[in-house]
Amino acid sequence: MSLILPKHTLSRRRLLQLSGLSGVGFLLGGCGTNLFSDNVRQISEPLNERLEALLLSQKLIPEFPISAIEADKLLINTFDFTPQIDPAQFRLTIDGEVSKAMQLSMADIQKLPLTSTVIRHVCVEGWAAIVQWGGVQLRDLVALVQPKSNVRYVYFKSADGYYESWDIASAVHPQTLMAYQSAIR
Amino acid sequence: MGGILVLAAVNHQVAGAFWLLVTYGIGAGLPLLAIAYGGRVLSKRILNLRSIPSQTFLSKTFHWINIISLILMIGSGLQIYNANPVFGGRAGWHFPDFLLLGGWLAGGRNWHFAAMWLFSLNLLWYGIYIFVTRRWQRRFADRGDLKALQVSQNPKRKNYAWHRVVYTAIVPVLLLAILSGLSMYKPAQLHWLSGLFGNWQTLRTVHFITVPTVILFTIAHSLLALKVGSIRLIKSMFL
Repeated sequence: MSLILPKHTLSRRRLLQLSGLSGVGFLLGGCGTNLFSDNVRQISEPLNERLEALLLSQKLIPEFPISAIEADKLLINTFDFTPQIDPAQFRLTIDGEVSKAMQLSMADIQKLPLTSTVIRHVCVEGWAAIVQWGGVQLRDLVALVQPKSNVRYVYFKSADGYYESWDIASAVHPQTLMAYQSAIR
Repeated sequence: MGGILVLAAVNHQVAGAFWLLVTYGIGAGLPLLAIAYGGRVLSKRILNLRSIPSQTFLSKTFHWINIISLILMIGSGLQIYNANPVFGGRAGWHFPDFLLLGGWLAGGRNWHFAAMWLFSLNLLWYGIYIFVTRRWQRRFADRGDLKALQVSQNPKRKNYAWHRVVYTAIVPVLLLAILSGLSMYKPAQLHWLSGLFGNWQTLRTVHFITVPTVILFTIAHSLLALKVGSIRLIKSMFL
């Protein structure tokens, strides 16, 4: 073993550099996991929701001609599996903070005014496709069940186990549909 | 510090641990900064050594926050990219896990839509600072630099011109990253902005291309800074 002391002791600048590097290393150590992503969301979500509310208006966004439809670009996404739904047995349940909770059959839904639209369908995964959807304006369903005045969000649960929540202002936008038909497939 | 992290992990006292961590950071950081700046003042004023270039506190803060926020934006951005690669869709090439931040698509989006505030507000206040102090008139590339690149025989003057041209050119790229990002963040509300990019694939490609551009810029900017002012210039920007 050498008894010679190392020439360089830890200098002030070196210490600052190392502390910076170890901080980056600590940060990168969390990269493979979603350890902090929920904490990050808790901090940023209120701010993001305010920005969204600021940007949202009830004005119509542009629709596209039928010739613009990109049928091949629409990916069919399901959460776990593609559910087999029997239209005769299907019931849409709307409950929660509403004055008139209800269950609607497919026939009930089809009695409501049909709206068809050709819009750009943008997925959270980043891809987009111009597609046609036909269905009920969500605001018609909201009007039927009469949400209480303190309601701020709509929570959706689909047959494949997927879930999502929306702010009420986005849900009652005239172009927000609960679609049940498409000309594509 | 380990104790704080254990507190967060075991007792789920995330908010408490977060503030402890902030307090810890400030507690540890202030004396270090005091030593660093005290040392510089000592060497400059008292010993009258003028060899170390100095930067304003706001320029340093901007550089630190910019680097950290860009690392977070790129890591989480590549995580989102992997959900459906811009090139080739699901069958396309995916980035390896060690480059990703967030763990899965939603985690990546959480990080991306949080770090976007850090990144864009940092750029905003720095822009205001540069405008108010009129640094844009002297600190960025001008006609003199372009002329030097064409006719100057002085390699030092040319390096200096290149340095200024390169760091001036990154400003529109960073703004483009924000504009193309906003176009995809709220494509319904900001349809007029998304529309400027032509079609969706072009928009995605433009947003993605800012990543390799920023990485190449960081390399070029560092090398040119080394050439122009050696390691002392780089240290002066970060310490």
